[in-house]
Amino acid sequence: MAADTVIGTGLVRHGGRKFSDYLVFNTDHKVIGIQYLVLAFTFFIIGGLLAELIRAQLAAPNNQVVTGSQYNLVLTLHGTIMIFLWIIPAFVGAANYVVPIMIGANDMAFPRLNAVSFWLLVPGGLLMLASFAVGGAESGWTAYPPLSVTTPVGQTLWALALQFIGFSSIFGAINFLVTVFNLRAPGMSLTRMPLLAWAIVATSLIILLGTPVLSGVLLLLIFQRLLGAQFFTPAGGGNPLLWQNLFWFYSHPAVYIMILPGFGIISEVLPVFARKPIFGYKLIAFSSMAIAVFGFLVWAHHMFTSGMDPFLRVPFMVTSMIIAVPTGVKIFSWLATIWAGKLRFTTSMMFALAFISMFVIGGLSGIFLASVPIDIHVQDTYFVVAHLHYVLFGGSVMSLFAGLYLWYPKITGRMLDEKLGHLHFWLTFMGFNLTFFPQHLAGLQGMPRRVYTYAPEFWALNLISSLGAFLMAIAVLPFLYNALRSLVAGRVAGPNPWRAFGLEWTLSSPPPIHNFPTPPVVEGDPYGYGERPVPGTTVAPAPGVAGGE
Amino acid sequence: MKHVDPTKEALQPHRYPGVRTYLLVFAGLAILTFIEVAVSYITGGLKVPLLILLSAMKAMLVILFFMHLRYDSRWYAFIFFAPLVLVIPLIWVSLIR
Amino acid sequence: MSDTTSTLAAHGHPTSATGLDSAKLGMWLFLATEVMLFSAMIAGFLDMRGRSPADANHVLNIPVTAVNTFILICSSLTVALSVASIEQGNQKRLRTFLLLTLLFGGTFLSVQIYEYNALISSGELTPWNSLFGAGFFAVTGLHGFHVFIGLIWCALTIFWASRGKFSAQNFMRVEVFGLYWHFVDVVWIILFVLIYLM
Repeated sequence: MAADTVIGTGLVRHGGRKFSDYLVFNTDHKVIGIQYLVLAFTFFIIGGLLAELIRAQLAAPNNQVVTGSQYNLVLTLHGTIMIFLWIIPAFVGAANYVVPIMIGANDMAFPRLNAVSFWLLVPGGLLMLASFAVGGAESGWTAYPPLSVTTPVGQTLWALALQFIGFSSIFGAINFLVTVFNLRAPGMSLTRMPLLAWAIVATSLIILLGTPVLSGVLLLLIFQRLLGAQFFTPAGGGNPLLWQNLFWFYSHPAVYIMILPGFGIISEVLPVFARKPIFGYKLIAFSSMAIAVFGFLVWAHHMFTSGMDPFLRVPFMVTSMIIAVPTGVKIFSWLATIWAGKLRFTTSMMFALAFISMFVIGGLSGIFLASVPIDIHVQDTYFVVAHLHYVLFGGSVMSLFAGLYLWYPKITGRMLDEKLGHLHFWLTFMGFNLTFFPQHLAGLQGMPRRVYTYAPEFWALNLISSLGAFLMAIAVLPFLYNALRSLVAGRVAGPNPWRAFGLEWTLSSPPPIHNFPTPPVVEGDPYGYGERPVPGTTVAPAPGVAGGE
Repeated sequence: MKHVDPTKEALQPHRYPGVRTYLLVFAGLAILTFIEVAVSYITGGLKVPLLILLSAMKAMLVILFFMHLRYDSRWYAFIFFAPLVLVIPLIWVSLIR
Repeated sequence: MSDTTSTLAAHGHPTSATGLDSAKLGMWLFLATEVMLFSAMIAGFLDMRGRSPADANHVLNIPVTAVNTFILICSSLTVALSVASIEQGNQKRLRTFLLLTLLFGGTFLSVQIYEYNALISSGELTPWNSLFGAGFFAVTGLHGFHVFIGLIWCALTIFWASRGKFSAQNFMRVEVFGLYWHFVDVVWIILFVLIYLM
C-alpha cells in the first residue's frame, strides 16, 4: 500500500514514525494505543494526587488540609477520574495496541472511528478538569440526587464530561467487536484466539449495552439541572431511586468493564512465565461471557439500604452471589495453570501473582457485601472502600501493570529494567496493603465513608492507611523512571524476548506500521508451551532467567 | 475456520424486496396507524394491549422489511433483539414503588 | 484514498472471518446501544407518567401528531426506495428518494418544534411545570435530536451520491444510513403509542 512510503505532515496521519505522529489524528491502532496509555497515565497521576490529598486530610481527625466542601470535590474527582480517565482508557489503550496484532489483523475494523474514540477523551478530560477547577461536583462519583441536582455548575460540567467519555467508550466497543469477529487471520477460530480477545469481546458487550443507560440518566440529570425538570426530587414529585436504578444499571456492569480486560491479561501472562499452557481455555472464555451477562442482573445490591422495596433485596442478593462462580472458575484455572509450572519471577509475573491473591481478597469482601444482613451494617462504610480498592487496585491496576511489563518490549523495542521493576512491585504491594487492609477494620468498626473527619477511635487505622498511601505514591517513581529511561537506554528487545507464543511475538519490536505483510496462517492456540516449539526461537530454552534471553 | 469473503454477502442474487413489497409495507403501516388512533379513543381494558400489539406490528414491519432483517444474517436479529432481555428487568425494577 | 485510511478498507469489502459486512455489523451494534439508550429514557418517562394524573397527555394534539407520524413513515418508505434504487444502479432515483426523505424528515422535525413551542409558550406543558412534561420533553426531545442528526447524515449521503461514491456494487453506506433512519422511525412508532395514545 502506498501509505508506507508517504510521510504524513498534516493533522491526519497513519503510523508512528516520529514524535509528532503521536500528537495528531492518527489512524494507526498502535499509535492510538500509546495515545490512550499516555492520557490514562496522566490521569493516573492526577487521580493519585487527589488520593494523596484525601489521605492527607484523613491522616488525623479534625484535620485542616481541606474544607468539607473541598473534600467532597476531591473525592468525587478522584473516583471519577480513576474510573473513567485512568483504568478504562488504560485497558482500552493496551487492548487497542495488542489485540489486533494478536488476532493477525493489520488494524482495527474502523481506524478513523478508533482515532475519534481517543480524541473524544480530550474534551472529556478537559471538561472533567474544568469541573474540578470551577468546583461544584461534590456528590461523589455516584452523584446521587438530591445533592447532585443542587450543586453548583461544576456538576453539569462533570456530567457533560462523562457524556464525551461515554461516546468514546461506545465507539471503541463497537470497533473491538467488529474487529475481533471479522478480522481474525485465517485459521484463528474463536476457540483458538487469545483469551485477551475473549475478554475484550465480553468487555465490549458490557460497554455496548450498559453505557447508553448512563448516558440516558445523565441526560435526565442535565435536564433537571438546566430546565428544572423534577425527575429526581421528591419535593417536586420526582423519584431519587430512578437515578439510583438507572445509574447502577450501568455502573455495576462498569466494574466488570474494569476487571475483564485484566482477567484477559492474566490469562496471557501466566502461561508465558509458567511455561505451561493455560488450563481451562474454554472455561475461562465462557466464564467471561457469563460475567458479562450476569453482571447486568446484580445492580441493586448497591441499593440494599436505599429504601427500595425490601422484597427486591433477595433476588439481587442471590444473583450477586452467583456471579462469584464464573470468577471462581477463572481463579482455579489460573492456579492450575501455574501448578507445577517452571515459574520465572519477572516483574510481570509478580504483578500477576499478586493480582490473584489481592483480587481474591477483594472478591471475598464482595461476597460479604452481597449478603443483605451484613451489607445493611457496612454499606457506606470504609469496608466498602476497602473492597472496591482491593478489586480495582489489587485487581485491575496490578493486572494492567502485569500486561505493561509484558508488552513494553513489544511496544518500544526495549526491555524494562527488572530490578527497578521489582522495586516498583514491592513498594506498590506493601503500600497498597498498608493503605487498604486497615480500612476493612475501620469499616467494620463503623467508620463511614465520604467523611472529611472522623471520631478519634479510628485514628490509628487511618494513620496507617495514610502512611501506606504515601508509600504507594513513592512506588510510582521507579516505574516512571524505568519506563522513560528504558525508552532510550533499555536493552534492545528482539521480536520475542519472553520466548512466548502469540502472533504479536512473531513481529519485530516495535512492529511494522502495517503489522503483517501477509496474513499469518494460524494452526494452533497461543498456549502450546511444552507441546510445540515457540515459532522463531531455537529449541532448547535457557533455564528461567528473568528477561528471557 | 472457513474464510468467507463478504462480497459474497453483498453480491448474492437479489434477496432484498422490491418496490412492490415496500409499497405494501407502507400501506400496512399507514392502515395500522389509522387503527391505532381510532383505538386510542376507546376506553376499557382492551385499549392498552391493543395499542401495544398494533405498535409492535408496525415496528416489526419496519424492522423485518425496511431494515432487511428478514433477508439478512440471523446475527443481526440477535444483536438487535437480545438487549431487550436486559430492558425488561431495567424497566420493571425502575418502576417498582 | 488518502494515506490515512486503513490498508484494509480499500473500497468496501475487506475479507471477513464471519462473512458479515463490517459496516453493517457495526451499525447493528450501534443500534443495540440506541435500544438501551431509549429504554433508559422510556423508563424515566414511564416513572414520571406513573406519578402524573391519568389525563396528563390530553394536552397533546393527537390528530396533528398522527399526521406527523404518517409523514415519518413516508420518510422511511423513501429511504427504503432509495436503497432499492441504488441496488439497481439508478443514481437519479437514489438522489430523488433521499431528497424526499430529507423533505419528509425535515417536515416531521418542524412540526415537532412547532408543537413544542405551542406547548411551552402557552404554559400548557413544560419540562418544569409537570412530571409528565419533564418525561415528555426528555424522551421526545432525544428522539428529535436523533432525527436532526439523521437529516444531516441524509444530506451528507446525498452529497456523496452526487459525487458518484455509490454504485450497484458499492452502496453499503446508503444501506447503513437507511438502518439508522428506520430505527429512528421505529422509536417514534413506540413513542407515539406510549406517550400520545395510551
